[in-house]
Amino acid sequence: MSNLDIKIGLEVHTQITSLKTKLFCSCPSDYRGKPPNTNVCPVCLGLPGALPVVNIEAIRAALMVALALKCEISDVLVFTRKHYFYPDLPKNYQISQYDGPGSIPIAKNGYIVIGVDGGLKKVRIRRINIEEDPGKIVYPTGSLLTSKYTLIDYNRSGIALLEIVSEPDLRSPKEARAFIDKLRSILEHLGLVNTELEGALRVDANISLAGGSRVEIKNISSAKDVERALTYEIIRQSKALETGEKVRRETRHWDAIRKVTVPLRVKEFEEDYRYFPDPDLPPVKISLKLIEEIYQKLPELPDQRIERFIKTYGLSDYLATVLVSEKVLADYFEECVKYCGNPEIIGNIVVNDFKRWVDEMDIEVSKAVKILTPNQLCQLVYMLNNNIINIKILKEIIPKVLKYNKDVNTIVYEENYIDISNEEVLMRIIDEVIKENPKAVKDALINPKAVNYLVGQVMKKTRGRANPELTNKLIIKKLKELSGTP
Amino acid sequence: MIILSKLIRKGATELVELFKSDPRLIEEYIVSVYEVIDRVEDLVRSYITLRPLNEVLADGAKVRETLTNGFKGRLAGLLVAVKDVIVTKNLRTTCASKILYDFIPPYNATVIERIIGEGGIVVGKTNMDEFAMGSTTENSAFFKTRNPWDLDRVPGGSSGGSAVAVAAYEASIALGSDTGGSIRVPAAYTGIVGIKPTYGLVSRYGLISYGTSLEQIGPMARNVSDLALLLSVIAGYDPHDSTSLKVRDLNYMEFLKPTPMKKYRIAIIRECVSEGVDNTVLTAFNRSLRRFEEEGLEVLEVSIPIIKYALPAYYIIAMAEASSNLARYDGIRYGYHVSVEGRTWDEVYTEVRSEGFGLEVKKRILLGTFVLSAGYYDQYYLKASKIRKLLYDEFMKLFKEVDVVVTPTTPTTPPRFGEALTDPLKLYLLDTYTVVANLTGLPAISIPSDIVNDVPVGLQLIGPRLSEGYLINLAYIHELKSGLKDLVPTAVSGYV
Amino acid sequence: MLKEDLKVWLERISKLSLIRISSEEEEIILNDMKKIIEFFNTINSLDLSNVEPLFMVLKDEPVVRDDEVGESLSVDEVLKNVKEVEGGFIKGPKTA
Ligand SMILES: [Zn+2]
Repeated sequence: MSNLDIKIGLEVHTQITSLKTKLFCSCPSDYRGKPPNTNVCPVCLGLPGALPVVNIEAIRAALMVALALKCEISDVLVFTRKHYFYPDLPKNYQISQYDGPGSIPIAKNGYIVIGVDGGLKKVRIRRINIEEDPGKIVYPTGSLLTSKYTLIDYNRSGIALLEIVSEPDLRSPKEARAFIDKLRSILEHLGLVNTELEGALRVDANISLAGGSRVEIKNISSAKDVERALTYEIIRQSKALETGEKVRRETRHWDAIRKVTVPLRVKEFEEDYRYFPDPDLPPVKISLKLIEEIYQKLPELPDQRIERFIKTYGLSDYLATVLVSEKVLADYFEECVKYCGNPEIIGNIVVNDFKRWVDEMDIEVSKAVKILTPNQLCQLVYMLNNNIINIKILKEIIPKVLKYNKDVNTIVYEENYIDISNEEVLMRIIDEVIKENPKAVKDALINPKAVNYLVGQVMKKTRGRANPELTNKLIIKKLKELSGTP
Repeated sequence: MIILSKLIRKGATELVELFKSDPRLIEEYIVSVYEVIDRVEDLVRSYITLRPLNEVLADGAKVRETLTNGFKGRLAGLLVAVKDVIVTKNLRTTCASKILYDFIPPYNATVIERIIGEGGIVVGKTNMDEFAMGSTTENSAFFKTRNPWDLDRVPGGSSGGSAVAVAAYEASIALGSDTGGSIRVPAAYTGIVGIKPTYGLVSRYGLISYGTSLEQIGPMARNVSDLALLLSVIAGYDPHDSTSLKVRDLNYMEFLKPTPMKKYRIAIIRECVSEGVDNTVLTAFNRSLRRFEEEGLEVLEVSIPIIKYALPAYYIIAMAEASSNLARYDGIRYGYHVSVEGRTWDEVYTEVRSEGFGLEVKKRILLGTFVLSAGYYDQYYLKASKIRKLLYDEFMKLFKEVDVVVTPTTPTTPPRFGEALTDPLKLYLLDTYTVVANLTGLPAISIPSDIVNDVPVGLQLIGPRLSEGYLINLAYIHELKSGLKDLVPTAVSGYV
Repeated sequence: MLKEDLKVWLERISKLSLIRISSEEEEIILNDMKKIIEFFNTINSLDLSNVEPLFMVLKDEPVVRDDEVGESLSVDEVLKNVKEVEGGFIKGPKTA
C-alpha cells in the first residue's frame, strides 16, 4: 500500500490547563485527584435554571492558538449547542462551535509545518473550536462494552477545551505522530497546556484507504498511540480490502490496553446534532485591537526557537528539532547551556542520552529534569572536559542517575568511575593483557587494526575507566618495543 | 365567619410602610394571608407547594427583628408567590412536571436572592403550564388552577398560579415568567397587572429555561405601584446571566406620577384590532384609548403587515429552544427516575422522558427537534429568525415615531376549561398580541382595561427598549382614571 | 413541508428526542402535528433570502467572566437529588 492512498485527518482535543477555572463557571479547573462530584456547581452539573458565563481568559487562549496556527480569526465569538444524549453530558448538549448558518468557529484555515523524512510539510488546519469537556465515565463491572452500568463523575464537566481539526492531509501514522508532537510543542510554548497531565490531550483520528470508507477512531490519548492505532487500522483495513470485504463507514474505539480498535454500537439513525447558536451566550465581539494585543504578547514559538538554536548555538537541524519538540526539553537544554556553555556537547547529551533514557524508562521529562538537574549535567560535562571521566562513562552514568536518583559525584566517586590516565597504572594493566593474549598480540603485530581488541581488553579490566586514547597510544608503543627488539 | 384583618386588602407598597412603623403587624398579616389561603385555595388552587405557616412566621419574625434594628428592606415582611419555574433553595421546584416532581434545588435564582435580601418572604410555589408551555394553566401535570372571576374559566397561563394567588389575595405580589405572554395573558384574565421586562433587564439565572431568547421573569401585582416596587427590586445587572444588561439601581417608583411624564405618542396596530378580536375586547380597548386621549395624548394608527407571521415564527423559535433546553431531563442527576442497571442510556432516557413529560411538552420537544433537524433548519428555524429580524426592524422604526404601542392583551376573554385545548392552534392564538414583545425583546405591560360581564379584559402597552418607567407612568395614569386597581374577583369576594 | 410520510417522520423525530409516543397518544399527536406543521408552513410564502436572521435581541456586549475561582456545591448538595449513588459517583446506564 503506497502512502498516497492513505488519508488521515486528526481532531485534537486539548484542555486549556493554564486556566484557573472552567469554561462557563467558576469551579476550579484542577479536577484531577478529587473525590467524585466534588468539583461541580449548578452550571457545570447542568441543573435546571443555571446559566453559562464565558471565561474571558479561555477566549484569549483560543486566540493565541489561532495566531500560532496562522488561522483566520472570526470577528465574533459564537457558541453553538451540539445535541446528543450521553451520560457524561449533563445538559445532553455540548456548548461548542460550528460552521453553519448563524454559527462560526473562532478560527479556521490555518496550518502547521511538520518535519517529514528530512523535508517539511504543511498540514492544513480546518478549524479551531472552543468547547466544554464532558464529565468522566467509569465502568465498574467491566469495560465500556461489557459493563452493566456506569458511574459518572462530573468533576471534569465544563473544563475548557480546544478542538483543533486538521484537513485530511496526513499520509502515514508517522506523519500523524509528527503532527501531534508539533502541535503539542506549540501549545506548550504558548504556556497554555501541560500536556503531561492525564487526559489533557485527546485525539480522534479519521482514516480512509483508497477503495474503503472513512473510519473514525475515538479516544486516543497520546501521540504514540495515535501512531499505533492508525497502523492497526491500516493493517485491518488493507486486509479487508484485499479479501474483497467492504470497509464500513463507522466509529471505532481505541483500546489502549489491548492495542486494538473495536467497533462502537452502530446507530439506527444518522447522527443529527441540530446545531444552533446558544441563546444563553450572545456573540462576543473580537476586536482587531484585542487580536493585535495578543499577537504582540505571543511568546517564541517552536519554529522560531529551532532557528535560534541553530543560529545561536550552532546546533544541527536535527538536534534543534528534537530539543524543541518538547518545551521542557528545550528549556532544560538552554538552562544547562546558560549554566556551563558547551551547547554542542550538551545538545548531543540531552538528545542522544538523556532523552533516549527518559523515553526508554518511560518517565516524564519534567520529572527527569528535576533528577538530572542542569547543575548535575554540567558537573558531568565539567568532568568530561577535564578528563575526570570519559564519554563512555558519561553515557553509563546518565541512566544510573535517572534510575537511582543519585548525585553524579556520588556515583562517579563511589563507583570509582574516575578516568585512569596514569601511565604507570595503565602500563601494569597493559602488560597483564599482553601476557594473557599472546595470539592477539601476534595478530596485532601484523595487522594494526587488531590493536582495538587489546584496547578493549584493557577497558574490560578497568570497567571502562581507562582513558581510551592514552591506552591506545601505550599499547602501540608496547607493541613497537616487542617487535623492535631483535 | 372570621373577621379578617384589614391588612389583607392593603397593597404591598402600603404594607411595607405600615410594617416599618409597626413591625409587629407582620405576624398579623402573615396569619391573615394564610386564612385567605385556607378559604380560597380549594376553589382556585394556585399553589403547587405552600410553605408551612410556622416556617413563614419564623421568617416573618426574623424580618421583624431586622426592621426593629433599622433595616430598610423594600419588601420587608411581604409574602411573595413564586411561579414554580424559578428555583428556590431547599424548596421543591417542579415546573408543574412529573419529571421534576421531587426536585429540591441546591441554589436560589438571582431574583429570589434579591427578594429575600429586601426582606421579602417566599410563601409558596405556584401552579403553571408544565415547563411554561401553555396559555391556560390547564397543562399542569398536577391540577388545574381556576379563574377567581369565574371558576369555570381558565386563569390564563402559563403563570396562572401566580396570577390567581395575587388576584385572590393569597399573596401580596408574585413572580411570573413570560416567554410569549405567560405573565400578561393571566394578568389580563385575572384583572391584575403584569409586566414582561426588556430582555436582559431581569436576570434569568435560576429561571428554568423554556424559550431562552424570548423569556423574562417579571412581577405580577394587584396595582401598578406594587408592580413598580417588585420590578425595582428584581431588575438590574447580574454577573451570572450572560444576557444581563448593565443597568443598576433602578427605581420605578419615580414613575408613579398622575400626569404624563412626557407627551406620549400612542400607536395602535391596525392588524391587532381587525380580524379575530372579540367585540367585548374591542369595546374595552376603545374605552381605554379614550382615557389616554382625555389626557391629551395623541393616538395614531399604524400598519405592520409582517405581524401576521409573528405567531408561527414565535412558536418555531420557542419550540426549537425548548427541545434543546429540555434535553437535560434524563432522570440521572435529578427528577423522575427509573432503575439503570443492565439497560442502555437510550432505553433509560426514553422511558424517563416518555413517562415524565406531559403531552403538550412532548409535542413541543418533537416539533422543536424537527425544526432544528438536518434538512429542515433553513426552512423553519432560520426562516423564523429572519421574520424575527423583520419584525424587530419594524418596531425599531416605529419607535422612532411613537412612544408606545397599545393592543388588547388577548383577542378574547378567558376561555372555559377545555375550550382552548381542543385545537392546538386555538391555544396558540391566545398569544397573538403578546409574542411580538418577546420576539423583539421589548418591554410590555398588561393592565386591566375593563370588567365586562364580570370578567376582566386586559390592555397591553409595548414600549421601546428599557422604557419600563414610562410604561409604568401610563399604566398608573390609566389605573387612576379607570379605578381598576385592587380588584376583588367575584368568586372569592366573600372570602377576603 | 415534510419530505417524508408523517408516521415515518414521527418515528425519526421521536428517536432523536428520546421520546416514545404511546399508541393512545399517537393519533392525537399525528393530528396535532399535521395542523401545527401546516401553521408553520404559512411562513413559506415569504421570500426572505436577503434577510439576515436575528437569533438574540441583546444589543449590549454579553457578560463575560474573569478567570477567578468561586464556590462549588458541597457533595451533599450535588447528590441530594440523585436516586442512585455508588461511592460518591452518580450511577448511570450502560453506554454500549
Ligand atoms: Zn461549575
